[in-house]
Amino acid sequence: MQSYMNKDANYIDNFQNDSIQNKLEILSAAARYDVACTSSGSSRRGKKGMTGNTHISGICHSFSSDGRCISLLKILLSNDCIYDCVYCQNRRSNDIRRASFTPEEVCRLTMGFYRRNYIEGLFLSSAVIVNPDYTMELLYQVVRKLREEYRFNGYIHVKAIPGASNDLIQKVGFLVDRMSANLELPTAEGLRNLAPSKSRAAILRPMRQIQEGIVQNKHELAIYRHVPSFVPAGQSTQMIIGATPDSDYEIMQVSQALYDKFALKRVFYSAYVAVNEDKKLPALGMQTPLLREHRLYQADWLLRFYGFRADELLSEKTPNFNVLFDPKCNWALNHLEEFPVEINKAPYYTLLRVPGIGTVSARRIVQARKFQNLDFDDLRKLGVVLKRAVYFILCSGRRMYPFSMPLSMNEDYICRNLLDGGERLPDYIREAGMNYRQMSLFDDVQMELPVPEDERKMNLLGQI
Amino acid sequence: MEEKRIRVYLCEDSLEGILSAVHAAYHSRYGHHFIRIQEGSYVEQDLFSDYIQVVTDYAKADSVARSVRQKISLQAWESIMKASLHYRSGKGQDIYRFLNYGYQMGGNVINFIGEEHIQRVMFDRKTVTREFERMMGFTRFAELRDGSLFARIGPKCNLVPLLAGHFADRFPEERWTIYDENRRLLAYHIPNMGWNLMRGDLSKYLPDEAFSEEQENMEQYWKTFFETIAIEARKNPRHQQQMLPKYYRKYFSKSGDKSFD
Repeated sequence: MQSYMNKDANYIDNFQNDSIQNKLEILSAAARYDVACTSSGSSRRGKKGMTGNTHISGICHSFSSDGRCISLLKILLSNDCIYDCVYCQNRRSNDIRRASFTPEEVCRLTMGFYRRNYIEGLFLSSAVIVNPDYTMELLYQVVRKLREEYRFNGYIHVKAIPGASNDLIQKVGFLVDRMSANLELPTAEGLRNLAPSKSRAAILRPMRQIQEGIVQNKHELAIYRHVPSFVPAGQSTQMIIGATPDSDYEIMQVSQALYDKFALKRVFYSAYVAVNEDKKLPALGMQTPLLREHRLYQADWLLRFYGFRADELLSEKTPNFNVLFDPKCNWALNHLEEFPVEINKAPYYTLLRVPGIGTVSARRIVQARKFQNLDFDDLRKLGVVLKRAVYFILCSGRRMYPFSMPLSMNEDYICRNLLDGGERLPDYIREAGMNYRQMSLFDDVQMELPVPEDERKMNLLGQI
Repeated sequence: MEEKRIRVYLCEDSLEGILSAVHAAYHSRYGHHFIRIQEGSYVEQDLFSDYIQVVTDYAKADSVARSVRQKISLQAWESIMKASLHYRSGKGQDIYRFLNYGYQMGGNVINFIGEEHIQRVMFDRKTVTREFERMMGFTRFAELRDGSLFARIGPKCNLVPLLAGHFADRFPEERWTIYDENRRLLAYHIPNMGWNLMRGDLSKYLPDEAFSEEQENMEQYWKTFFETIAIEARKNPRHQQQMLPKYYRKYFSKSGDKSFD
């Protein structure tokens, strides 16, 4: 640590000699585990004399071979870190190639890529060099140069470095679209173990500051039209999943708190990819927990758009998500007393809780039922996934198949039929070599049993 | 009532062409039920209809456009504007019927998707919008010697007008050209002068020497970035292909994005 403190102020100049090509290779590889590569949330028209605009829903410009969208030029300014976080590829004690961009180089790359329409903007992060303030100041220099000298009007996302001073974060906030402070790990305990130089308090402080800045800016904008906007696309954060033994329940509680108390736009979950060997970490050969990440994202959507609360989805007793069913389906199976739902009467938020009905189809149902009574055929046209919804809904008091379905559903019946009906995992998880048979080894064996003959008959005849 | 012969108005395959035909159809006062509008250059004629060629008239098209915006709604205007860019043949008739209903029931016409013509117009609009959103990302520009930008595209729908609007807002200070290879249609933009549409064949244009020196560097940097940003442990080509179909990739390399070569 000592030697880094002594570095002179023109520290970045030490890397002048490396070629841009090499630096780009090192610093984009170092940034690839950052997940938040979205360019959404900001809507800005182009300006005369400047380059760029932003699109409210964000634009994907390419897709890398892991299937993730490439929207922003995602790089680190430097990977020469003073910290020694156990999970991180760029930790001080790792013997890897170090590199740093000069502000000039970052601007040149961004403009070059942007003009060719390769990217939607810049996502700039950095390892902590010398100290947090020094790093944040460098990030500020880059962003200021890009906006003022290169007249760049596109999307910029910058990381807030924990521990940096308030006025630096404030200055950066007026130049960028989105800022994010990485939570790194879901719990404070995990952070203490794996990233001893970072503290929960130091991470939450800039987060709170940005939140307050946004609120204050909104008030100012209401009074004066031409106030510069502060972090217009809001802030996000990310945490690593699977490096620490935290349960899904704990993670969802944290997300819920972040959405409630810090008004975040997004919480990103990053399935832990083992890059370092350490006794505090899962072993190197471990499989990346992609399914778990997927379930967390599904639940995240339930929190943000479906009106669910974290403690509805999970509890101390069932702290992890079901591998077979998505969180909403799982919730519905455990709350059959809330069903069936009458499509022609139920309020919007009740419709949203039905598996197979999403925000779009729920909105369409509410619209369409003003004019006519909806039947199952209409629902299909409106985009409802009937093979899933059929067990949970009534149309004008009727089941879809009144003769072959039991009047009161039980969990087993629905589970079995959902699985028979080809409930499938998303492609990218099946690609990773998992399927039901493999996973069901850990799950309830009952689901694998064939349906007894007499029960099948009873179902057909509609008996209970 | 005497049974009349069907009258078919033939028009150019463009928004202006279709609207000119709509104008002619309304002014003929022949009766909507006996009128068809057929866009495109090739039509198989039958003996029981009369065929009338409509010359595209921008003033007439403009008057129809204005009346759609004022008497129906902006949403309806956007729907027919986008639907007219679809590659499907037969959209002219659908747009005509859509307007018949629209003038009767007003802005509510876009919700009336039980009617097949209206449904098709709304579906076409959705298809065009989706491909437009894709192509906003997948269009690639290459820098030429004179510092201007050139993009070669080949989308399924006719997206040149929409893309030109998008990039005119995005790059107001650049000279750029977007060229649709399949339709031989191009849009060019000059700073302070806006953009224009033009027909022309540029397939033989642009030998490699036309690119600037910086272009090759940037292509190399982009390829490097594209390859290093992927995480090996999450490799998933199928998902990649779903999001970025191979159909669109072939135009990447034609416009200087070598990431899939």
